[in-house]
Amino acid sequence: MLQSLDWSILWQFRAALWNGLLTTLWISAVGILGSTLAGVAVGCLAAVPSLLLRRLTASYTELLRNLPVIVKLFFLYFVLGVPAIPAALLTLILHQSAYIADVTRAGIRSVPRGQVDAGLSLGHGWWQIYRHILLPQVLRIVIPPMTTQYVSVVKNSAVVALISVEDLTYQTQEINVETFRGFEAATAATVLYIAISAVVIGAMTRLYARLAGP
Amino acid sequence: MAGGIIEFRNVHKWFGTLHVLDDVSLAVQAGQVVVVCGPSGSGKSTLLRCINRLERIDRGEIVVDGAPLDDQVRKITRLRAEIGMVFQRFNLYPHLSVLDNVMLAPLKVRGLARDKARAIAEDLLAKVGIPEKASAYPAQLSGGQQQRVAIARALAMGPKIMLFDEPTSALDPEMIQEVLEVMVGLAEGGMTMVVVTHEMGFARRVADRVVFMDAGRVVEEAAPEDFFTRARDPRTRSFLGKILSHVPGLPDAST
Amino acid sequence: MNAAGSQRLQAALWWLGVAIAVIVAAERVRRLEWAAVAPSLPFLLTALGRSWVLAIVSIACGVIAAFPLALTRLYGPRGLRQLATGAIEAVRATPELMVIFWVYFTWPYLAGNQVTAWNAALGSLSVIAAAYLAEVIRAGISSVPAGQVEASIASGMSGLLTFRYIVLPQALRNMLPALLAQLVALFKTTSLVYAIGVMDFFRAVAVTKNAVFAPYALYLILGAGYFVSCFAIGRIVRWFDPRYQLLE
Repeated sequence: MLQSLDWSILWQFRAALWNGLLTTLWISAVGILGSTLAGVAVGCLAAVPSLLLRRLTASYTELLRNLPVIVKLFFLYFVLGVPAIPAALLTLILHQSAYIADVTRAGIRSVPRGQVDAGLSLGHGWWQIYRHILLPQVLRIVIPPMTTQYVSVVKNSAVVALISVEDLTYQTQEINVETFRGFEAATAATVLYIAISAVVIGAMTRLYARLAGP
Repeated sequence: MAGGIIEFRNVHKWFGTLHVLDDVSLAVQAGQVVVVCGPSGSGKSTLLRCINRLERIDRGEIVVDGAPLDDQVRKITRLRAEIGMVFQRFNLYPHLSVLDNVMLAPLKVRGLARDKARAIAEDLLAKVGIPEKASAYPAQLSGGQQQRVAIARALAMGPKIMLFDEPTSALDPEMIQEVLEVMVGLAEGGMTMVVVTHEMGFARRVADRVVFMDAGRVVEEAAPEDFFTRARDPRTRSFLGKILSHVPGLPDAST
Repeated sequence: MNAAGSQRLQAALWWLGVAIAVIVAAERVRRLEWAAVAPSLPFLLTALGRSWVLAIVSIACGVIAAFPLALTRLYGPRGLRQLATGAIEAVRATPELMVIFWVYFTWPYLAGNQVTAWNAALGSLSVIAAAYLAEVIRAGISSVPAGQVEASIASGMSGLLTFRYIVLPQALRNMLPALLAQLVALFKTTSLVYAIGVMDFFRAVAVTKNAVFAPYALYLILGAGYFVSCFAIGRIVRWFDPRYQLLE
């Protein structure tokens, strides 16, 4: 059966695959950026010693983590009527920000309590303690788990194909519909996805090494 | 009780059901050095941490520098800037160089210019005897050096009061002396100090008073001479018997 | 009541409050058409059950496949070890939706016959589960301190006996929370088999939504179905995980 494969189909559809790749790339990039900003903000709030804030942030993360990506996406797109691209971006950001919030909170908690005591005893306010004492230390701790989160954003971005955003996965389906060459198309797309993940992992590894410090 | 720079008035504190401070009243006059000792869990660290409000109290009143401590965040923050604290585990910021550790609060809390803060920091590092380590990171220093940096960091804010929470108990024996020397220097310079420690040699040398705590209560409070030779309470005598016999190189007298 | 108990009660009350608030808000905003949805409930619940079956069967298949994968990655001979590592990492770096398409498209080439959507769903979810679980198992085995192995070898036990009686029991206990976490992840992933036409919970709701106009009620049911399922498994994780007991 394998000899019946026709790889030239990929060359024939190179423009479609290229456009799909670009869409996946920029959606993932915005998703990574947005979910980092939102997630770190929520994670910082979650680490503040306040029962109300802890409950609120826990509700945010639990709610978003326990719903499949596709449920959030379809709710935004089909029920609330958000246009496809904003719905796609918002879904990726909401979903991953919940995980990133948990990573951030755990990172902050892993900094010894004495660091906060030292900051307080010198008269720093909470904002300064976060900005100058906790976050620089947390940054290094959270890079490995953040890498996993960023790869997840890239992978979850495939779901947007289901609301006809023309990303890599969408183009794969299109090729399959037009030529029944789903196997070849899926192989190409998979290789590209793995390549993107590898780039993300490589970049984060370099960042980690750069921040290694003393 | 005469007004002191630090005053505890019938202070109570509970951790859950544990009564960690039980009706503590205490006054420290400006310029005094008070050493607090007692078995672990006696509440001495908590007592210290209440002075700059790292712990809140449940009942009673604490007056620092003429103003009662309350819950207003801005007041507490301003007050903390006037009280230096040195911790058992140093608590230096591992991501900042020694110099940046000392400069951070003057820069961000006091709003000093960079060169001014730098001058203060370098001066203090010289004073604690490690000017050459300014650009090193905490992980590259010995415990004794780290603790001296921590003292310099606290002093950089120009505090009126210095609190020491077992500053030598996480140190190897050969490093204790270098930290104590710095503290003796401070005491002789007239700094108001509250020191939680079991270094009785230090207490004998510079303390104006020694306070002994047990089970959340102040059991005994006396000048060092009286404290070491004429302790009234049997708990104090038993405690002294244990820690004075643990001087390195001497046989354990309690066995 | 002890402090931990009252904390738990508080948390439970909070979640109850959140749930009531969500329902009341939804009710107010759109006057939910519960009556319109009610006849579809048995259909929806059956589909939810189908999603559960998908998740549990494929995690079971995944565990069976994951053990040899993990052991090969840890102890296998050179070429085989790289192969296992490559396969695990490739699946983990590929979007779940792509894996589902892959199995669906590839099956005919390998088996020569068309595959049913249900089997493709089971197959792809099992592949996903196997890749992630292989990592969970590897981490669990690696988490057993080297001193344990040394002590066992020193007492005269063979490598195989050491693995069976010293390493494996400790590893299994360590990996249990991560294993259940994978079940949560996989349960959510089952929603993607919608794309190849399996009548899972998600597709059932989507189909009902086309027939009945009650989008808010349906999405409330959809959200509740997934949330309660995942939340429940997540809470079971906490019972097994001593770290959570310290944090709470």
